[in-house]
Amino acid sequence: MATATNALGFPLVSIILWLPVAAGLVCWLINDPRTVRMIAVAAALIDLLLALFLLVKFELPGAGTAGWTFQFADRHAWISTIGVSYWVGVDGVSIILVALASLMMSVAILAATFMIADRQRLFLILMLFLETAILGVFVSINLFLFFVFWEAMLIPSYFLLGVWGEERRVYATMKFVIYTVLGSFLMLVGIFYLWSQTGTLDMAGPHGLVANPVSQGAQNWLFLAFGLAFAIKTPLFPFHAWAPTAYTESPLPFLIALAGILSKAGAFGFVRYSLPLFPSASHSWQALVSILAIIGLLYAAVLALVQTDIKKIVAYASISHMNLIVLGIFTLNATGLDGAVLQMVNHSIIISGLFLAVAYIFARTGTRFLNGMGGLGERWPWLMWLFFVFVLAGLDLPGLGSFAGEILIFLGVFAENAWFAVIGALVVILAAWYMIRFFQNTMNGPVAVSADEVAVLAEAPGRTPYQYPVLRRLIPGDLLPGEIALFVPLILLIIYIGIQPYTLTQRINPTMQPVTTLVNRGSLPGFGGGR
Amino acid sequence: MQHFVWGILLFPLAGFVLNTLLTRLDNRAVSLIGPGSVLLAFICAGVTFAWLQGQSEATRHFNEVAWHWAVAGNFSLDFGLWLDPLSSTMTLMITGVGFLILLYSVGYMAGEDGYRRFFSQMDLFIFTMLLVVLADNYIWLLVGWAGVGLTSYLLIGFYYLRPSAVAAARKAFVMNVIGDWGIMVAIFIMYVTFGTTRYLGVFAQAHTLPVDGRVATALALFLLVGAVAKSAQLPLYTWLPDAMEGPTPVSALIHAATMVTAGVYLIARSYPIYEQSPFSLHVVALIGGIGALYAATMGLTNNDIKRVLAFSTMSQIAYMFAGVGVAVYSAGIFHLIEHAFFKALLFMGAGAVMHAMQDELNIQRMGGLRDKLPFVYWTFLIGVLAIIGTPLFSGFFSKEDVITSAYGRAVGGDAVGWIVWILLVLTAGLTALYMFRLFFVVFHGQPRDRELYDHAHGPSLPMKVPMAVLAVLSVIGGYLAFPGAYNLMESWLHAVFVLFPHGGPVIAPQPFSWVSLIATLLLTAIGVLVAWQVYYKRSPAPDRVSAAMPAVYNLVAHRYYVDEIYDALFVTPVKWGGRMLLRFFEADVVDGVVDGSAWLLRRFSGYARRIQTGYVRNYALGILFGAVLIMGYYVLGGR
Repeated sequence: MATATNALGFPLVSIILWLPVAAGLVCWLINDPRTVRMIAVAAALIDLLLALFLLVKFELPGAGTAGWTFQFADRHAWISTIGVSYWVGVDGVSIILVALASLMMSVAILAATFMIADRQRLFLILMLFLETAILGVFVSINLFLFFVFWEAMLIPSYFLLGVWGEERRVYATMKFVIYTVLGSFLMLVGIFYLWSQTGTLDMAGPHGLVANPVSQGAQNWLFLAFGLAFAIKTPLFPFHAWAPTAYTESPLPFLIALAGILSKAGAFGFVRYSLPLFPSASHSWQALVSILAIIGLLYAAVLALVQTDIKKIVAYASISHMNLIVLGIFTLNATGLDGAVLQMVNHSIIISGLFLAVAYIFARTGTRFLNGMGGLGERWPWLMWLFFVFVLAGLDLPGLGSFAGEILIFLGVFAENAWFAVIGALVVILAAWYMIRFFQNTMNGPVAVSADEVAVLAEAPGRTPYQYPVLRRLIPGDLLPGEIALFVPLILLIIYIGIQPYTLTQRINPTMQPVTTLVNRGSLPGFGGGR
Repeated sequence: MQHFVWGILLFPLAGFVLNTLLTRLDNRAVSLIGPGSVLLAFICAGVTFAWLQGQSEATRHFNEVAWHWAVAGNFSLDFGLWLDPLSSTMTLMITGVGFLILLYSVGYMAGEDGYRRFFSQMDLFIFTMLLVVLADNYIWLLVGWAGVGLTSYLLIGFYYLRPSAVAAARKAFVMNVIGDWGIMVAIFIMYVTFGTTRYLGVFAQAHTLPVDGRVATALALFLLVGAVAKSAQLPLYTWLPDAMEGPTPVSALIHAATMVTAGVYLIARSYPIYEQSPFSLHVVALIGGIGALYAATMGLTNNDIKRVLAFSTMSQIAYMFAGVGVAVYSAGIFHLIEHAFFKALLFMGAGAVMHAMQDELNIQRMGGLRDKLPFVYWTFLIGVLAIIGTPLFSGFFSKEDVITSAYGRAVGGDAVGWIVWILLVLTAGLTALYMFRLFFVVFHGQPRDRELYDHAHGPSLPMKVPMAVLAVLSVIGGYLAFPGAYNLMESWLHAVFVLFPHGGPVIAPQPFSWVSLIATLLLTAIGVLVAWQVYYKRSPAPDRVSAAMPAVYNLVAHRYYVDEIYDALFVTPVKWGGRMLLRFFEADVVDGVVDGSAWLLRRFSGYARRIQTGYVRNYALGILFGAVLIMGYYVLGGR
């Protein structure tokens, strides 16, 4: 059973949730671009600080108090006739994702202040709306409320991609929206079915959905209805077709939100809803989902290896890592689940850093294609070395944050099925290969374009740093202070999590333990059984 | 005193951080911080060594846990350090030889671009290498393991605008990650079998595994994957010759003295696991025996001064593998230490020659350098005498220890022991031949390139001092053991190898054997004589020898075409597969289901087309199609 408490006596979660929308509405009334920028950045940073405050205040359950608890909960009646309430709060997983989301949205909004020139005010307002929607997905304790926020993510995304995207943005938006809508349509059907069976849509509490599971037969269908929505958002192989196109066409600040946070909403959906609500179905589907995830993580890695568009390399790297996270979730044991949640954090940080690097390179070379690059590090050493840290994290170098998540995931997988882990872990070789290829072909080797040519290009009209519809000059020099400022906190986090993932796992683990108890039967005989 | 172990790790780390973050440092400060931090670590290593000396054999180890690393489900791990005679010996060697090589680098790298970057990365390497030998669990060993792979990558690709260096760095990195994968799988097995990855937990339980059972053998062999990749042994050795693209001090430190010997350390450290799997030990010994001879043949036909040394490194590490493979772990470690002395010295000599010859690597353009570089000549000669195992030089004692151990195994009735012993003895002769070939071609005879010869100049003082120290060590370093009399190395390391129970066959150090010694010395003498005849007197001339059997010569000179075979077997298929998947699966199937359903709908559903574009619903159809397939799987008996 899941319970909810609020030790603060103060609806801080609701404040964090609605602050961005409020700031967005204020921005709507103001015309001065400087003030708008200030408000947007301030709102994002205040949200981040409040989220960090929550992270620190989050009470770690003692040894005896095992159980799934939501803290800082805030509840109001809403549409009680169909079991809908406004109920928000955080557990050990969502508190981390709230902090992560507010961090990445801060990075994205800061990036937007200098990367987006066209209709910047509107862009920032939409980003703030998007932030509230994403936070809502993580803090809802009511299934319907969750669905409202889930759908609400789509609206700002539609405009952010469709208006500010690159050349093929219309096609990309179409694909993105249709995939997402179809997934959520089935989920909506599932939600109403759940309500019809149980009479409530609250997750926690003695009458909540977690305490009253539906029949095994219904679970199997509901798992599919929910799972498809989550699989598309994540994206799990083979439901990923929208992702490379959408990632490639996205404007960079939105891309940080899309690849960094929105993808986590899908993985979070599996952890929060699919597993606890449909435990026996999760077991039935475990093998199939795991196999899809293993195929996906190797498949996307091989495709990343042959891309020539650097934005596509990172897009496929992202898909590969997300499939690893799904693999971790479907170990259905606490080690793998902890690793998966930890890896969500790492993935956000790394993928945002890599996409930022892509944007920085594009702003200096005017191209995203490898054949126009080479030896860039000679001219821009800061770009090379800071970028390199993300490359290493992207190939899960032991000692960095992503390794901690990866090894926990594979330990969890190995305990379930030795061969899955042995084969899945081969991805480290492919990841090393495509990441080093990506790094070397851009930064090392003979200089493809001489400094004089760059100067000429930089002066040429029609060249565009950062963004497709706006015509500006290329940046000739090394990283600007603003660009470095976006990189540095991400790098520090990568190193910190690598040295002490305990800070995160000590919050994740007490939440995942009861969830796995809900889901689990005795574990399958693993490798050790065959002594 | 034992807490000085933290200093061993932290000083090089501090050196790395300072040299990385203080971007305005001038070269003098850099050359103070770089070697200085390693010297401080060496002092700490000395202090902890002294502390260990003072302990009785049963308590001669120290384990300190520093912080919780992660807790997840039933997995938990702390970061901690493990100090015992084995790790102490390794830290002394790493920091000692490391300091000398960094000192040498002050002279060698003077005036190069990226001076600060060089020293910061070298310090990072030393830190990660020390982490490998000081970690108290396999996960943090893997962190160090990957860290040395990373710094090796960075330093091989030090000249990062040069395409050959870039390619060599990438190859080394990816092949090393294959090894990391092996260790990762071993970690999975340990976690599921023992519930822990700490040495204490794993080794205390290892003896409960059935001898040559599935788990013990899998553990030992997956660890071996890591060991051969890092130590450039068969079959994952092809990156090592290319790694010579890095600056020469890098080759001396990383690709001769320290990193490439980490595989030997790993096997010796994991002895309770290997003791449970005699089969795996046989594999290790055979990789050693075959690899020693195999690498020596390639050393014989190569004309690049650093690559000849690289092949000799591979060959000597193969000796160490043979040593630990016959379960005389102290012999493998002994040879590891002595090899660090004389191979670092040889690389330093090669670096001095390159400096003198304007970075020329081809030995066929050298010759007669004896007169121009007398200091290099004599120190190089000491290195050569040591490596071929000339009696009373350091290499003699350690190599004799390994070969005697293999011989003891053979006469004990082990067929694999015989094979390994014969291969090692043959290799001893071949080593003498190819090392003296190198020596005679470079330093004797007529200068083949007058221009280069005339401009040759001797090394600077910071280069000479470390060479002199290592030359002395290459002579006297071997007296830690004397065949048939005493073996200090064995008695010092003994505490390590009796700490944990092991149920497998216990192999005691082998007694001295005249047969083995005479056979080895005889073949070594023949090797020297042949080299003298062919490469010093040049009758018959070297060209005529190689022309006598062109097919064999070509095969060996092209390194048995193994690079080409690996490319054809692994690299090309993966890339080709990726392109095919991209072209036909990703574009036509994954995207095609979506886009194609649009086409289908337009084709067959004119009615729908009239009310709307058909676009939106077609996508929907595509997804539905996928969903129906999966539901179909479930309905039709999937569970």
